[in-house]
Amino acid sequence: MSDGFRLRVKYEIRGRLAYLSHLETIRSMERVVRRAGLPFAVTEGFSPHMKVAFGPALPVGAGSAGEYLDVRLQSYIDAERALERLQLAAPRNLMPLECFYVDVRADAIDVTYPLSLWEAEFSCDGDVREMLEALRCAFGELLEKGYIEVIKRKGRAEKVKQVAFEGRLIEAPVFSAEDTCVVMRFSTFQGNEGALRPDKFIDAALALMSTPARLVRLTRQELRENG
Amino acid sequence: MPKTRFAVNDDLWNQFAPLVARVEKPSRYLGQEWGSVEPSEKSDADYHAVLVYPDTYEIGQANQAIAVLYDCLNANERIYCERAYLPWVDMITAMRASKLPLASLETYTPVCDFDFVGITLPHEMASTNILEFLDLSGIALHACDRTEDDPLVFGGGPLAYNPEPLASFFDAFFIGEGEELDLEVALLHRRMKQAGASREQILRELSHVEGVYVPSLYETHDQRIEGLSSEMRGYTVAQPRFDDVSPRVVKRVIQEFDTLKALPRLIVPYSELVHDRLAVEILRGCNRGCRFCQAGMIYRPVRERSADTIISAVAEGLACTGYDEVSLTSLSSTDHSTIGQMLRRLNTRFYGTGKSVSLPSQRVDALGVELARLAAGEKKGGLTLAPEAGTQRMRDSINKGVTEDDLMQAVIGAVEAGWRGFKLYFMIGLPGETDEDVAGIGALCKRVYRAAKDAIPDDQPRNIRLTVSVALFIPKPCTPFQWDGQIPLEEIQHRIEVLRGSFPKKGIDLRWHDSATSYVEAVLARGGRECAELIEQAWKNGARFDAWTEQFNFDAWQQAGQACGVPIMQRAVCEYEEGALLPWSHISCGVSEAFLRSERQKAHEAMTTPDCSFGPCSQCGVCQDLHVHNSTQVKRVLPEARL
Repeated sequence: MSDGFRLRVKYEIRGRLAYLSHLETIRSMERVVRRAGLPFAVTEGFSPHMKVAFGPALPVGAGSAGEYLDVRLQSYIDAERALERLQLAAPRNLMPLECFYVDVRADAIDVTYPLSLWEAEFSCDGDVREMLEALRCAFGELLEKGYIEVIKRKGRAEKVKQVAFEGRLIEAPVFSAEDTCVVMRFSTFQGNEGALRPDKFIDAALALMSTPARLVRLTRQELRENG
Repeated sequence: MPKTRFAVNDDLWNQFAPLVARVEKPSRYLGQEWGSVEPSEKSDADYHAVLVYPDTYEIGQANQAIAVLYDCLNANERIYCERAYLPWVDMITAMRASKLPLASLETYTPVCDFDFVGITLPHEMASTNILEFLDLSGIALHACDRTEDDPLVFGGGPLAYNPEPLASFFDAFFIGEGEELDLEVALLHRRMKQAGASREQILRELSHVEGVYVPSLYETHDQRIEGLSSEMRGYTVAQPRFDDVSPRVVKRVIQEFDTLKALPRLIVPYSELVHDRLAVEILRGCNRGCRFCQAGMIYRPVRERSADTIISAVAEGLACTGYDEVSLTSLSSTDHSTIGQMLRRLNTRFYGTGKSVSLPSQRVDALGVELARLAAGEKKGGLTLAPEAGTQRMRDSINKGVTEDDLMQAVIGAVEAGWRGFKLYFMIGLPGETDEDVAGIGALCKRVYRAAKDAIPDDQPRNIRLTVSVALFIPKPCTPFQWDGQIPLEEIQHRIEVLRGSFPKKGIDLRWHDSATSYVEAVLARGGRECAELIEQAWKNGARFDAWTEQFNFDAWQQAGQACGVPIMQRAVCEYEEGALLPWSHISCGVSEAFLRSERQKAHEAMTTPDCSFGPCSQCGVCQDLHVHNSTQVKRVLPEARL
């Protein structure tokens, strides 16, 4: 195989590391690959760098139970062996979970997995049922509106853009009450038209509450294939 | 003390988390990097140290001294050493509003709960940040107000060679190299604390350790400064209060540098640092003897690591960190006696791997360019050269040891090797400088620009990017120019006019530094304990992050100066009397005052002093006083003999 081998790595982002930016995660995972000593391929040209590609960005503050990266290898290495080496070279909250090979000409990660399943946790000091209802009302009101407004900054200029839910919010929020918190699950589609950012979606609903709930965790539970 | 004493303070982290979520660059506050020491690794530790850099994470985490000392302290099973940095202004505001104390990165333990707080003193403009750090940590600013429950606050680094402006904020200073000293102090403190000794007893005992300065054991006297009016304060000089306290604290230095670990345990950050690459220190010290340069005096003698040690450290360091670039660091890396051979070996090893080697500075001669070419490979961004002065007389006066021929050879060689972008560094306001010397900078740059263009092959576009950066001279302690003042503001304005007039209107990009920051830096560099009040008042007036151009608040400093009787402009320009005691006279870096005076005299006469690591002894006093000597891998030879 002259194009080498394309190893797909699934990894999680937990705890404090949910606050890493996408670029910081990329840089850190590239360093994990280097430390693991995988036989990665390097681009040719003026500034050679690792041939690696990442999936869709997570908002800062969101963790993940399963992100993906594809690294091109010059030589084959058993996927289980690669996983062991990656795990030994990774910080404990940025941990590779699974490795498998995909065809070198397979679709990019964000095309393969256009759906994101999100889980948000809101802490509750008072009555959990009351908070669940308040959250349900706020999100209901927001869904009726049909869009959120996000501010796009370009240099010093600011532009307000409407992001409609249609085509982007695939499964509307579903709530469940736990001991001292409310857990909410929903799914989004990230396509060429721009995705619905889960953090902005939640912020917009919380702004409608008289006493906003406190978001304590936001996690991408899964990146899914379409259909 | 119980075992497994240390654990992550999740409660405090949980209080920080909502703040982290809304500030700039949250990754500054996360810790948990690859290579950081976790509490689970320190089950036998019962002494808690924290190393601090008084600036943001991305500046401090790149500091090599912290990396080395973190490794040295954690290598001892009884000590758990963590790190802390100053949060950025948005986080400081949020922390004050939420009444949260500054905490360490590894375990989120409040800094005030540590035994040992070791603060790096990198430069004068970090002084107000130190106060901000102590205040945010809930530690009393003044050492005399601290109680038995407070940590001991130590300072070390370049500023420790004149610690007096910061003396009242620290319990003790470490003078010189810290690899052995920090550990010695930590273990002595641990032993005495566990035996129930008081703070006072511990500090008294620490003052007997070579290289430790305990300011509270010294009394000060005021020394008038000639030329300043009577309502302005002079500087203080310090003398011991007790017979068992040394009147002169001499720096600690490690002769067997090559036997020290070349590769400390390294922390790999998530966020991008100012120097985001592996750094391997290939040699320590520089004896070139530039007369304005403090580093060239305080880090003597020259000690090189062997090529084999360095190459192993580079290979191991890249493998265990995952970096793809290594910088071979030191004050003058290209002076290493086997640098060319090392670069060739590294290039062979890294060919086709995407890994690269960089050098932090270039020599101004043809060999420098040859070495830069070896390091850069195909990547040729910009080449930075520092002739420092525009005329040969001035370059000789500052002992730069560079001729116009060297510079031209360097530039022409670099153009032939493929470089098209150059940055040249100069200084103005040097002692003995004339208008002719200032105008000489422009004239020299024009010749460089023309020579560079002429060296471009005919079949290529004749584009050269030349940036010239001009800084204002700042007199520093322990240098031959320590007695000299800066030039007054009107004179600076005049010289900048002369400078601008000497440059062509197009082609060369001329930039000069803000003189206000240089004045504050000069006052603090040569101040005594009277400057503590100035720093504290400036901080109360809102000064912090003074090294960040957009944060620097000159009004805060000027008002503080007026209020404390230490007016910035007048103090910066005053000349100190040769022979009089100076604020730092009780601190010795080994270079004798006689040598500094002789060098100052030679500067007046534009006479040079050769680098003793290439030739005969220059009688600076370091080897005799500190019982050390230069130690190079092979005999250093001048460039013309090496090419």
